[in-house]
This record gives sequence, C-alpha cells and structure tokens, in this order.
Amino acid sequence: MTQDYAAALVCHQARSLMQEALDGPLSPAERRGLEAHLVGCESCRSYGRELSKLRAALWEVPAAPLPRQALEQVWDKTIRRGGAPGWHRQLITWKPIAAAAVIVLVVLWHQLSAPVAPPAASPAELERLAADTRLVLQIACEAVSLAQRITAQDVLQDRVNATLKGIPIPVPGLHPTPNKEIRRGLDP
Amino acid sequence: MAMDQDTFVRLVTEQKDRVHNYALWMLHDRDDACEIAQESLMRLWQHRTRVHPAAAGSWLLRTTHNLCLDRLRRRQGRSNSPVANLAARPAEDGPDAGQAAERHELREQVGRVLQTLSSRDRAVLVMREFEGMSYDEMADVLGLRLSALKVALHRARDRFRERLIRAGVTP
Repeated sequence: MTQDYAAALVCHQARSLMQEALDGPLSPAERRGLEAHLVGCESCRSYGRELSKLRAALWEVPAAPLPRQALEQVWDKTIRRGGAPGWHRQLITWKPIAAAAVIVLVVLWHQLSAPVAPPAASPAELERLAADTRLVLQIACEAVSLAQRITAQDVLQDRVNATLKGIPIPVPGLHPTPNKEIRRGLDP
Repeated sequence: MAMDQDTFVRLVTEQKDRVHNYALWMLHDRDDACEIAQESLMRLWQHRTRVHPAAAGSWLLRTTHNLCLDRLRRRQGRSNSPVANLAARPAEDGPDAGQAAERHELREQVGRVLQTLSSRDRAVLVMREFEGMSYDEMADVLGLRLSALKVALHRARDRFRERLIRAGVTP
C-alpha cells in the first residue's frame, strides 16, 4: 500500500505534503510516501530544505507590539469614556429623544401660534396664560415620558413612527377630549 | 454572554500586539497599522454586546483584516508610491544591540518582500507564519473553505519563497 502511494507520488504532490508537514503531522502513509519520493528526487529535497530555512527565518522576525500611547488612546475612547455605547445603543438612546423633541416642538408651536393676549392683559388673563404655559410644560414632560415607551425593538425594526402614532398625546385643541389626568393635576 | 469591562480589558491586553502586528505586516506602515489596530480594538468595545468573549480573537483579526483591505484599496486609488513608514528602529545601545538591529533589518526585508505579494497571499502567510493561526481559524477569518485555504497557503508560500530567494533574504 505504501509502495503504491509512493509510486503514485509526483513532485507537486510531494511538495504539497512537505508544506502540510510544516503545519502539522502527516498520516503514516503520507509520511512514508513522501520519504520514498524524496529518496529519489533531489529537486524536492532541495525544495524541502528551502522551506525549512524559510520557516526558521520567519520565526526570527521580531513581533511589533502596539505602542503604549496607542493603547492609552484605546482606553480613553472605550472604558475611560464611561461606557461608550455601541451603534445600536446610540440608536436606542437618541431616537426616542429625537422623537420626544419633535413632539415637544409640535406642542409648543401649536400653543405659540394661538392668538396671544395683548400686553395690557387683565390679571385674570395673565393668570390664564400662566396656567396655559404650565399646561404646555406638563404636556411636554408627558411627551418625553411617553416617548420612552418606544422600545429598542421599535428602533431596530424602524417602527418608531408607527409606535409614536399609537401613543396618545394630550394636547388641548388638537384632541377632542383632553387628558383629564393632566387637567386634574392643574386644577386647583 | 455579554462582555463586561474586565473581560474587554483582558481581551485587549491579550490581542493588542497580535492585531497590531497583523496590520503592520499587511500595510507595512507604522501609522496606518497603529490606527487600524486601535480602530479594531475600539470596535470590539462598540460591539461588546454581540461578540462572545471566546470568539473575540477571531472577530478582532477578521475586523483588522477587513480594515486593512479597505486601507489597501484606498491606497491603490490614491497613489502607487511605495510605503516606507516602517516600524521604529530598536535602540542601538546595549549588549544585544547588534542582534536587535539584525532582526529589525530582517523584519524590514521580509516586510518589503511581503508587499510584493497580493493581499490574499500576504494575509494567509501572516496568519500562518507570523500569528501561528490554525487552518480552521484562518478559514473562518478569511471566509474560505479548508481545502481552498490550503491551496491558497501553499501557493502563497511558494511565491513568497521564490521572492525571498530572489531578494537574497533567505539565510
């Protein structure tokens, strides 16, 4: 069997086996076949010597460690930053905030675009304006709170808009039935 | 299993030189290699919730490999001039100064010859000969089948051997 294997071995197969021998042990049959081939092939023996010298030379090559300063910069931009979030975490963090900001802007725009009382308003009108302002601020806080219902899954699956549409925002004038809870909180 | 901060520190400490060394062999430029190594390590932090610590070594090398290929492509688009910003020479003082200088010179010679090979040849050679990676790990990083990897490695070795001899580098 070994003799057959050796007889069938041609130079390129023998060289391939020599390369494999660099990376790990050959099977007994392969080893015997290779040895039998090398006995009668000076060209492959020379190839094998060069290969061994090449490997020995490469092992002499020194490694190049990462400079200390470069490593310090890595620590600065990772663990020393206090947990810099990954891209998906960044999405989760800023998208709901952006959505909440849009809601707040819409509410404020709606309130500010409404007719404003003249400067010389009566004390009662001023009191009403102050109450409206408090209400707007409370609605804005509520909007931010509601926006937190947007889950990471919504962000990753690009369902932020759909989720936002499903969140009821109590805005006086925009909704037929204002949120009674907010009203109750404002009423004396 | 998510990667906590202590695990990240341990992995970076273990892998930083390997990643840098790989980038330096691939790019043959000190600044580029440093930048790529830093980028890879920082990406590990950014993706720490998705990378299993046991697979972090291969993940880092695959990331480094891809970043190196991107950098090489950009270089090709920019200029064909040879890169010569190599690793700093070792200090010339001390009892081993002569030997250190010789080894540094060898590294530069080998690096120059490596640059004449294709990026694929260079990658398989560096992974196998300098990083001592297993066939399985290399196949994983390079996205090759084992049989294709062996063929690629054998051919790369032959071309590298011929060019080293031609350059008079082989001892």
